[in-house]
Amino acid sequence: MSIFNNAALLIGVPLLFAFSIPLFGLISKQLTKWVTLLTISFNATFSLYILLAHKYPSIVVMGNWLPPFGENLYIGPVAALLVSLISVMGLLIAIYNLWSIKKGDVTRFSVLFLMFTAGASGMVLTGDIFNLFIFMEITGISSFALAAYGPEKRALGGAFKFLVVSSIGSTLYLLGVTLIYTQLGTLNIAEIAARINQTTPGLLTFAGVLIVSGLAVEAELFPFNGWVPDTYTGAINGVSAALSGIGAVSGVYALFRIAMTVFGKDGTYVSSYGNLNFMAVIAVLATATVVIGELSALTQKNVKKMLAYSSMAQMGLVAVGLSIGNELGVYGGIFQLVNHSIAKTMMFLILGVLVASGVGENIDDFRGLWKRSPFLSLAFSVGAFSMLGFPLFGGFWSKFAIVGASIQRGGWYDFIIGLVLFASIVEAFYYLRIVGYMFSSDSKFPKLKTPWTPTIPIFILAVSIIAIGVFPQIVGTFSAQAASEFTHKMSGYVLNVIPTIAAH
Amino acid sequence: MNSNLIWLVFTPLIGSAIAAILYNYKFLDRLITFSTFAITLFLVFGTHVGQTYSMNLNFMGRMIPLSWNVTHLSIFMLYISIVFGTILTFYSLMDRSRMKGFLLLLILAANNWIFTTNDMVGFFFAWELMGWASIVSVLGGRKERKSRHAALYYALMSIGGSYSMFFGLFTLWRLTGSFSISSNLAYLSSIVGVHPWWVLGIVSLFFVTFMIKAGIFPFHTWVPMAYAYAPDTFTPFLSAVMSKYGIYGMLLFLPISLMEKGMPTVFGLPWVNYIFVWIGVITAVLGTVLAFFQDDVKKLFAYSSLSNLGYIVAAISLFTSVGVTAGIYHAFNHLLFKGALFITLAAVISRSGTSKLSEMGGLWKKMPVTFFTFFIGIASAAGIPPFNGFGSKWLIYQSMIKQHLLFATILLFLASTGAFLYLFKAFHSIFLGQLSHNYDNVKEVPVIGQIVEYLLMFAMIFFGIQPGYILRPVGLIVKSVGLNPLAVMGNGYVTGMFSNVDMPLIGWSLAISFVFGFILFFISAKHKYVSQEDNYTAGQIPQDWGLTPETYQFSWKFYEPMEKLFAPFYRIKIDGFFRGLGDWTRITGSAVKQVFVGNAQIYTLFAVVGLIILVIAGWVA
Repeated sequence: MSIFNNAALLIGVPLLFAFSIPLFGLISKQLTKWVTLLTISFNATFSLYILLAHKYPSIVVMGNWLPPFGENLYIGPVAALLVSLISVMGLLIAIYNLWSIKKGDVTRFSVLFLMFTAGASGMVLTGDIFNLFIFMEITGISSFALAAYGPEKRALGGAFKFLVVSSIGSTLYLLGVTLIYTQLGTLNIAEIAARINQTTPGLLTFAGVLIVSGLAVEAELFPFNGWVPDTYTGAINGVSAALSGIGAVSGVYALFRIAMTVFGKDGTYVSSYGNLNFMAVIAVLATATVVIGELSALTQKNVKKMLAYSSMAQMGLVAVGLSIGNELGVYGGIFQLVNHSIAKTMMFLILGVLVASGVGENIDDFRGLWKRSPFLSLAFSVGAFSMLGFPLFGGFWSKFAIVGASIQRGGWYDFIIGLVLFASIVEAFYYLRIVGYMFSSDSKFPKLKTPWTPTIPIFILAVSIIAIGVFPQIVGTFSAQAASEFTHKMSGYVLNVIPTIAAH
Repeated sequence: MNSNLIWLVFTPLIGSAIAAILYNYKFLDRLITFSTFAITLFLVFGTHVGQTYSMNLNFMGRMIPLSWNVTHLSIFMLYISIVFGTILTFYSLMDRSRMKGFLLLLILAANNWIFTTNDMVGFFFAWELMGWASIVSVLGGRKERKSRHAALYYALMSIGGSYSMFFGLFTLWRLTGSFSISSNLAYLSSIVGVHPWWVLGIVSLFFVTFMIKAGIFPFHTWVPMAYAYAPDTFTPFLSAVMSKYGIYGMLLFLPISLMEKGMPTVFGLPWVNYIFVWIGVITAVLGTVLAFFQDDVKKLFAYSSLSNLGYIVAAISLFTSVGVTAGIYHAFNHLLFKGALFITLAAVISRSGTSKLSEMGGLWKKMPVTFFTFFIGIASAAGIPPFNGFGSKWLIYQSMIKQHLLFATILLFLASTGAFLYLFKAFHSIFLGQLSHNYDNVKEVPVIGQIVEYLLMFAMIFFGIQPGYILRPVGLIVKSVGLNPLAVMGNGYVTGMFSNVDMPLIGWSLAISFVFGFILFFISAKHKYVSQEDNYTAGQIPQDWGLTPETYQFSWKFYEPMEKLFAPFYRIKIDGFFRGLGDWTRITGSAVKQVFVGNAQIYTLFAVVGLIILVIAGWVA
């Protein structure tokens, strides 16, 4: 086995470099940013290689202990797709950071950013619910610190709220994991998934409630998402981009890995073991998130805060899609996750460039932006249109699939999707209002000079949105495989990890 | 398999990409737009009824078939929309408004796709594409703030409509497992006798979309705003072509009503159709009444469009031979004369710099070609023979009378009479009366604009006296939806049920009377031209009465008595409902926002409460 087949490098290399960055920092602070960039570009190359060369499904065992006894990483279609997404987003944000992070403690920022990426990748890759907790903590703690980074005072408030709510979430998750461990004596996801119906239903339900609540914090579902607006608004734009483009991805992944694989019961529509159908619970929470998020964003005058609310609402939409539980719905959910990650990262980066060049964060400051910076305003519109699900942009296909799956399922999902579509009209209003402001010509201000370093990631992201919109199979192929993994828990996950296990 | 069909969609898309890259060079953008329209027109020459194409789209991990199918209706719509678009983009080469050519090309791609597709995925994709491209196109009118508001209002209605169709098409998919339009329509026809209410529900999900796009009561509220504040060169396309998408959609679904055996009937019509006839009539009357009051000339003609769309809907809802013929024929006529009118308005506004009727006047000497085009346009719009609007209106009345819908027919007549009034108001206020001193230096539009105007004039007269060229293809469409086409006696005849009209004869008699009129005019006494203020004032000095040259214009408070008469109606705000909905949403939004203004404790509390609720739910379950 060549060392480059070992997906543990995706976690190990960033962690190794994260802890050696202070040494590079001794040479030059600017060097640390380049080290971060190179490390993440290794991750991106490696994960894209895994994805495109179809090196999955495969498991990576630690110390030759086969699962369920040893720890393992599992790279299925979902993990391959999401780890590529995380690494590529990380790479693009790292390019942006080359330009954006100039003052302050650059070394520490680089350490934290690498840890954050490593933690998020770990969450997606790991095959063990306790390791999931550890990676969640790595991601969480590095993101509190990242969110607090920067000159502004509001960053501290936001980071503190995130810290408090997120700690509660992790505690609840850990409690739930403990309960399951007392019942089954194992922490391996595959084994728990296979033996989940051996647990006491009451205890399983309680554990499930704890775990779902804990993970809903990271997945930004109402009412566990109180931290979102303040943290996103407070953090510097590069960090907000990372939170929505990377952190939320791993959060949603963890939530549905547990709900669909661990607790899941295969069927036409995946439901869950236990007294409570967790898929339905998540569907309700997700719908509430969408409606509340979009309505809160409606009257928002601060664009950054608006993006934060929209981010929350979009994660709700992703969760609605995944919670439908058939292949089409999960396909739509994963696709939407990718689209949202791309578009929202891009929009935060654009906002970062704008703020740095003296344009404010308020919606009024966007007046006449088209004249001042055609590229940025066009890219922002592309992101907004993708978010709204307009055709020729990536978001169309995922929204199409989510709505289609909901109506296919029928019943109370008709009602859910009705609410979601109503919220989408609200969303259309506030995004198109910004677009309208940008295209108005009443600007007295001079043209903006756009620095070229941050335009590279913005350009790549904007082009990829249109590319996905025109050729949906770029993402669609992979998210269809991912959907198949999520909806067939035994053949898609468990049997790939422990071939000898039988469902009980 | 005819791959030219897919090029009908891809050519405009490619053109759009090129035009978007060259957007900063405005003339190039326009030139590419025009050339792409022309190329697409050539592609349409190679498109024939019965051509099909299908390809598979890799979506959702499985293959979704996309299919194209050219019907008589689609080829007719393709021709009229693309020919008009070519003329319009040719006109736009010289124009100064902020219309974006690449967006128009996106709409063209959607246009071709909508008219030729036979699967709902493509239909929805194209519909949404057309929707957002037109929303962004409306931005950038002369009055920015207003055009932004109009675009947002239009966006909300349009997106709401799309979502309604979203629901409808996926419900059909759930029922039949297929996205094909023709097989889904066949399915609906087959079950309409058994489950009329189901079919009605699904079809109305689609009809809401179509009514919004066509601007039919009660979804007409976006029309005047969007038409009035869109860029001047884009409004012709909005009014002439884009409103017809709704009509096209309705025509797709209406054949189902033939099968509706289980439904009660009124006047020999299924009651749903009967209601639709009335919706059409209300739209026609409403558009007319509201058009009186408008001082903004684009708004006036927007309401006029509304009224005409009402005629079309009333006629096609009857779903009889004459009704459908009349409806499609009127759709064509409306496209032609309203397109011509809005183009002349764009010309007038670009030269005079205002769209307010009360500020215009006497422009006919300055812009004679525009004046004559406008004159023929309003004559067509008023349905005066031998111009092109006459035949279709005449057929519409016949179809209504044939169905014994007497009261509705009378209302339509009244609406038509009202149309005379507001059309004359526009005509008089812009071109007749006295020339204001502001416009002493106004010139006729450039040569390109004049060429377009001559072309439109010719078309309005030609299709007026030779209606057979349109009635024949319309007859094929009528046949293809399962009705008996009207007999076409000759190119010069409009064949109704009660009588035939020989259009060239009417044309000649009118021309001869005009010649007589001119002779009388020239042999009569010499005229003396005076300045505006030098006028008969019964010994009073106008200034003493607080009259300024501005208020002394004829176009100032034109039809004031009429407006007073109809003032009570004007208070009924139809868009109050939508605005109320919007306000309610905004207030709810501000209230909901308060959820997220707490501190860490509050958010913790939320999480804990959420957890407790979940635990209780688990306990109870």
